[in-house]
Amino acid sequence: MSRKVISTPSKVRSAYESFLEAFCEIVESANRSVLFPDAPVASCFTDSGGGTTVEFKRCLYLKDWPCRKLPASKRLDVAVMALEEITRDSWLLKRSTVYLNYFVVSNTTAVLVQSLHYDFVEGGQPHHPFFHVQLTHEPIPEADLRSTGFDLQLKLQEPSSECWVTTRIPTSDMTLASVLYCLVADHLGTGFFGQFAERVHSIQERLPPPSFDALKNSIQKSAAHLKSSHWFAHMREPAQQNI
Amino acid sequence: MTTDIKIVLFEDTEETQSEILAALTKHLKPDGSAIPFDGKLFKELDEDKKGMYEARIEKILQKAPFDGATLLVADRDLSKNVTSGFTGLSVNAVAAAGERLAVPICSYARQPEPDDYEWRGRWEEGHIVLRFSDGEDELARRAVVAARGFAQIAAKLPEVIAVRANNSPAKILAALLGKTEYADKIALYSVGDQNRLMGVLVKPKKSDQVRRLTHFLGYWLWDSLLRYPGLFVNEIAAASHLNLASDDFEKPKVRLVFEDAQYHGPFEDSKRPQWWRGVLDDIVSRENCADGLELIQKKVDSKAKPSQCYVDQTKTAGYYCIISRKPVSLENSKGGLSWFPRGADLTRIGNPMFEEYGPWLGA
Repeated sequence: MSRKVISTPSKVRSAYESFLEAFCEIVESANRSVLFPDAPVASCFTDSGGGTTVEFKRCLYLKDWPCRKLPASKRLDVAVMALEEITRDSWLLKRSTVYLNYFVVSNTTAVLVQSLHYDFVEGGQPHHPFFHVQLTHEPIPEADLRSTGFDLQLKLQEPSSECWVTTRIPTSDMTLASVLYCLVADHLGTGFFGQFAERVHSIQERLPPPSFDALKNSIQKSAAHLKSSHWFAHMREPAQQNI
Repeated sequence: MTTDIKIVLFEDTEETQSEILAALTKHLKPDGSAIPFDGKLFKELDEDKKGMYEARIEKILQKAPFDGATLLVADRDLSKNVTSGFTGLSVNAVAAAGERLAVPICSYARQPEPDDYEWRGRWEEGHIVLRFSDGEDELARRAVVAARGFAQIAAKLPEVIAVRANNSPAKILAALLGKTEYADKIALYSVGDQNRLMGVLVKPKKSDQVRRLTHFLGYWLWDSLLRYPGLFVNEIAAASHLNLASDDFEKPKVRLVFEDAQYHGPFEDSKRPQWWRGVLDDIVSRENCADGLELIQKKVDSKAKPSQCYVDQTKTAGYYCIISRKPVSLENSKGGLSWFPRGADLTRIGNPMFEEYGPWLGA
């Protein structure tokens, strides 16, 4: 059964709409294409249970993403799925997980070559850097992938080539907007990235900010030294956070 | 508003002409007038008479009493033209003259139109399409709503374009409507809208800027933003979006809750109200409610009913079918067609309609 769509303040909804639209525009300007489900952004905000938070879920499929390493007969496609949880009282980002699947496509077959997800949870998770990326072998659920219009034959990784390295690498706040921002920077080149960065600058201000007080306090106390311990500040007692 | 409004009527049947003129005059009171187009009033040079109709009409419309017209209203079939020298005149020639002078035009057809006449109007670019079958009085009322809308835009535009930050059509329109925070959403209505491309590409002379921009922004607002639910919602789309049954949304106490969201601005029509969708959302979320139904059940009527999808009444709606003009659910409809403005995210086509008209509706 589909979850109940929640009415979202226009400022929050329009920030997501405008950011995603700007992303689509820059992708199309770069002569690439982006597929997404036939459902408006507004319908992606649903009740995540309990009536106090809203979940935002959206899957995008990026076709023919520039990649110098591949021969002309193959192309790189990228699937992005965001799951973000936002509080309904203050409209802060409480949790964000953004899954990325990289596919090498030849003819009509898409082979999953790399999966990863960026993750953060308000209050932190034990033994996880507060914001982090983790390499995995997890595919984005096929139903979500197909909902974008993905119509290729899907070939997942063989068990023998699964990613065994599961180190969680600390990152900055890689929410959906940040992930898309970095994808443009990494793959579309300086010209397109410059345009995109300028276009979304004012939109970013309106996106729900992540809630990360422990990390913020820790960094503020020794701003000149980005120690590894900052990324585990949520696991320490408040009194120890400047250690 | 003190602006004088002038409507020029092109109608080739005398009886209809006098009826529409009387209705226009009634609705234009106290600040406007309606006059019939009459080529006989002018002595044209023989050389001019050899010209194209659109060029001749363009010249005549620049002379008193037609000069400075706010709006042209034209019958689509002017073949029985009673005005001398314009035998077989078509609405296209009038529209072309209007386009050159940046005077907007409303057209109507006297023969009964099919139900799909209005939504098909998207292919009638350059005209505001009015229905004649609702009677001369309603036709005139709608034409006056259009004329007042264009006049309002023209009156406010100079102060808006004087602000340097208003440097794109979307920002200008957002400022005109007093909602600068919606400039991004308005901009989405321009994405891929090739019908209006010429209006953006042609840079008007400074002296002509207000007139040209009024023409461009007025059509954009009437024909796109107010037509395809997304930024605005009409009565059915508003009820559907709020998840309220249409009859509950009509109740005065319910309307009162959403009063702040009602649209007041150019082309505002008391008989066909519209609401700012974003303001509706803000009213609901400010009360920490999931949707309009929860809010109304909490504040006004615990028995208020949810919206129903016209395709499957067991489902709540949420969206608006632009062809059937009924509430529809996401699952039972198709959206994002290439001719929908990108910002019109509440506009859909019900699956039964899409299956029937699919090949013509495109992807």
